[in-house]
Amino acid sequence: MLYSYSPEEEKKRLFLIFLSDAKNGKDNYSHEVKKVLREVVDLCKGVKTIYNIDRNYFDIITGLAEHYEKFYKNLDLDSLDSNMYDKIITHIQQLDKLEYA
Amino acid sequence: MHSKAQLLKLHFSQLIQSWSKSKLNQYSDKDKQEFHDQLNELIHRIKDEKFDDLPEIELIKRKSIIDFIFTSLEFLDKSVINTFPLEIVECLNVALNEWNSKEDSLIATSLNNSITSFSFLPSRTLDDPLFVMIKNEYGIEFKKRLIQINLPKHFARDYFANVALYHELGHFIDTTYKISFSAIKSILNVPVDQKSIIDHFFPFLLHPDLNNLSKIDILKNHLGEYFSDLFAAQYIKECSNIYIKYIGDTGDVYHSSHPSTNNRIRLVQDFIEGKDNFLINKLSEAAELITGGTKLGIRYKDLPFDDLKKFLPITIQNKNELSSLFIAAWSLWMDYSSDFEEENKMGFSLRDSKRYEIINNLVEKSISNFTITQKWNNTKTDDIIKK
Repeated sequence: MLYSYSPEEEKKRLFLIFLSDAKNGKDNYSHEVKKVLREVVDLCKGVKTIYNIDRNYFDIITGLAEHYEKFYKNLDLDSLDSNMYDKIITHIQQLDKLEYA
Repeated sequence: MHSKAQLLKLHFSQLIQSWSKSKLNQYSDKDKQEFHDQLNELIHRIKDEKFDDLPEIELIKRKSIIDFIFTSLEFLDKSVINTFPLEIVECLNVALNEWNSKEDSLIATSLNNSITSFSFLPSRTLDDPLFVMIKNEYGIEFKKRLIQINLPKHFARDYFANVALYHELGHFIDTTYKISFSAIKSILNVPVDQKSIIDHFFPFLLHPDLNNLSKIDILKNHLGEYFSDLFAAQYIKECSNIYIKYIGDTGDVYHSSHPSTNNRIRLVQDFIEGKDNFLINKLSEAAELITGGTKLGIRYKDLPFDDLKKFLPITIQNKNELSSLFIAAWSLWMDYSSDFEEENKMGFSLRDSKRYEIINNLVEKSISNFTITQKWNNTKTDDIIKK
């Protein structure tokens, strides 16, 4: 292979783009972002389990819930501001480092 | 600094060159044609854009979309009339639809030179975010997802080697539903009385020189392989393992990517014999919880193959019997190969290569007879309803 490629990494890369667009007020992406973050919140609160969370964003949801449980348990999805989006973007960027630390 | 827009123009020009040939593709089914037409629309929409005017984030999106179109073409080009292994895919579709009730997937195949290159390419199939992006950017909604399966071109119409495709389909189901990933915790939290089973099937967990992260990585790989073996065994009994033992027997040796051949064979044997096995139970439980009721179970039946011995295709009664044809072919080849001459009072001995050709042709005929009859019956029903 000329370069490394992983489908899960590609998903993370696209989701980071979605977060960036959502932060900049693009409604069609903020809908998707909130849908995924809702899953993280529900997993942290025990409303959902590993067996019924969205399979399309499985790694992102389980990674955020595992490493930042306290943050997402208290996340208010109706009041996401620029600062919050930046934090979430950093969390996702940190996931790989946390997994392989 | 090189301009990203200029590099994207190069990428898109390469795509246009490829599309000039691919756009003439003709497929045997309307779903692939529809997918093709949507790609066409997408390409034309991108063609209308001025890359120089787009911000960097938009250029990155377009690169992903162009990559997706290229990967789709790689498979659609090999899935055209005359090269697409229609009968094999008919069988795989039955298994696929049992596990994927949304029926939103479309099997496309790529034929490769290596005789061991059976694989499932997950790169674009499961990329839901990508489809969200295409819909948001261009308003184009793909109704189907391509399942991209590689198989050796020499075996495109072989009903022995292609049992491996059931294992590959198992990987697709596993990756879609994240079944083996979801079972990890319950495997690691094994009760004391079941620990010996886990130590047997995952011997690396006891390895003193491996750190925990390496163990988890290997565990993920091995669970995925075990699940795919069990998935295949539901439909084709132990046929895939018979073949794996011949083409890549590792005995008791495991690799980071795959469990040992002996462990794979034992697990499938336990499954077929209905033995209580902690690993099988946990994978099946995870599958059931995630899919909302579909669990691992025996779905094949031992079809009588007396007709094959008489050079006649087997009459398939319903679509669930299709995968069992592979078992019949393997059984006939392995254990009753010399029955052809006796059954037909031939008075001479067939060459093995002729025997192989006959069995393959008869299995293919059995499948196509069934599918043609099905289509005919459906057409008749439609006509009656219209009247």
